[in-house]
Amino acid sequence: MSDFSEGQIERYSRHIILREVGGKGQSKLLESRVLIVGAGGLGSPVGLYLAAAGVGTIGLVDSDAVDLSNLQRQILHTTADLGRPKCLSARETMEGINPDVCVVPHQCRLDSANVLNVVADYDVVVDGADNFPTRYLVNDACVMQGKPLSHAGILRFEGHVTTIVPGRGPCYRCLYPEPPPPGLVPSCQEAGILGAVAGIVGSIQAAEVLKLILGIGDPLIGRLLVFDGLEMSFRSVEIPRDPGCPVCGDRPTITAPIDYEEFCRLRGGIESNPEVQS
Amino acid sequence: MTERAPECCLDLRGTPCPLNWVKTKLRLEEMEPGRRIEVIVDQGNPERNVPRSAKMEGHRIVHAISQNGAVRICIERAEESAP
Amino acid sequence: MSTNGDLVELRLFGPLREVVGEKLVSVPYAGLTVAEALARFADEQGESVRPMLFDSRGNRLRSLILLLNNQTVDELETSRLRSGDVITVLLPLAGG
Repeated sequence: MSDFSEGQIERYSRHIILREVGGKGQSKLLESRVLIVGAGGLGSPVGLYLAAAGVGTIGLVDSDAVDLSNLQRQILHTTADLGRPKCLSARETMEGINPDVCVVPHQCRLDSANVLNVVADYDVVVDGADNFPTRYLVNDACVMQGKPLSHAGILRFEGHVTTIVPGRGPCYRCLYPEPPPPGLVPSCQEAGILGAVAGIVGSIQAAEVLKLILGIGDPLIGRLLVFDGLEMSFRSVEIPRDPGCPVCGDRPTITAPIDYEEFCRLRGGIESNPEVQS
Repeated sequence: MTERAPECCLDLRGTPCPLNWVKTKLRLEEMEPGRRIEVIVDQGNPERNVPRSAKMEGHRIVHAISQNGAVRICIERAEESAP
Repeated sequence: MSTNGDLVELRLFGPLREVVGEKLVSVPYAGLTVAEALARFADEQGESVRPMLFDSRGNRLRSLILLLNNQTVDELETSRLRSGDVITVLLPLAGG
């Protein structure tokens, strides 16, 4: 009790009342470090809820600036933030909600050269990226460093969520050993996304992260939760770990981060496009 | 056998629900199982809510004594308060 | 001609649902293996659907999750579909 200020006791009272959280759980949250990759549609609800929950250090990776078309769903940013780096606008919002939180902006694109260094500083990672290269990169880095990862993807009215804990279940590559051919799966920019769907799916990620830090409940390990916002239904699908997975399998062949382009070339793109250099 | 004396006393008069319970709970978490705490709360909602919350988490209410418009509640910490 | 006894259902998600225009498609594929059913579906739906299931060499995409009655399928080539079975096809979503 002596560790909490009067303000903190009141701020976190609804957490502390929970049997599964209590003062000890709240202290764990305040001491925890979470990295959010992408301050967009998913990263916004994740960032807001983790900041409000008192996750002590929150890293944010995003190299983009706030665009008017983001504001329909990216609720970390406001109209006044147009043109500002998302990292900084997000930091202001999150620290504004809760001054206990320290937001560390990483205003860069993750690549094979920097990903391990960035991930190394955190206890849990959240994938809210908007592209496949980053998703594979973040998955691989988390497996290599044994970091729990909350993964989600959204499109139109649909969302997929799973929790990856290396050694305890499948990783992203167990689910999808290879990314789909470029152009096959459209982006939200091309196909649209209902803003509230991002909110629902990102909020699930936030809850998963808090559960992981607190060590409570059953995370979505080995389960892919498929949300259909038009039907308003959830399906939970059990996905086994692949012992032959190139990154988390019994004999991994990917042992250092690789960039997407290189990954595609390795998988037989050599004859189709020999002149491409990454 | 003599009654074990409460380990500490928290004066929570004027502290509204649920903050009075939150402060009691934080103190209970730091105590060894079987040790006791005395809290003084206002009559009315606090005197009902604080013991109810304590019992829901498995703690034992040793006694509750009304005194000068307030209530002294003695709570014994449960063996294991984590779920 | 098909009878109801032949019917299995394909539950589609993401871009595949977009292209086909249905979330649930009934097809007379009972008796086929899961792999045969996918090939037949691609044949019947034509060139807009095929690239979502097979690459240019005709190999099944490795970026698909295929479920039979909500379970992952170990033997795509040998499990025979029975009337009323549901095949679910999931593609990864990049959006965030």
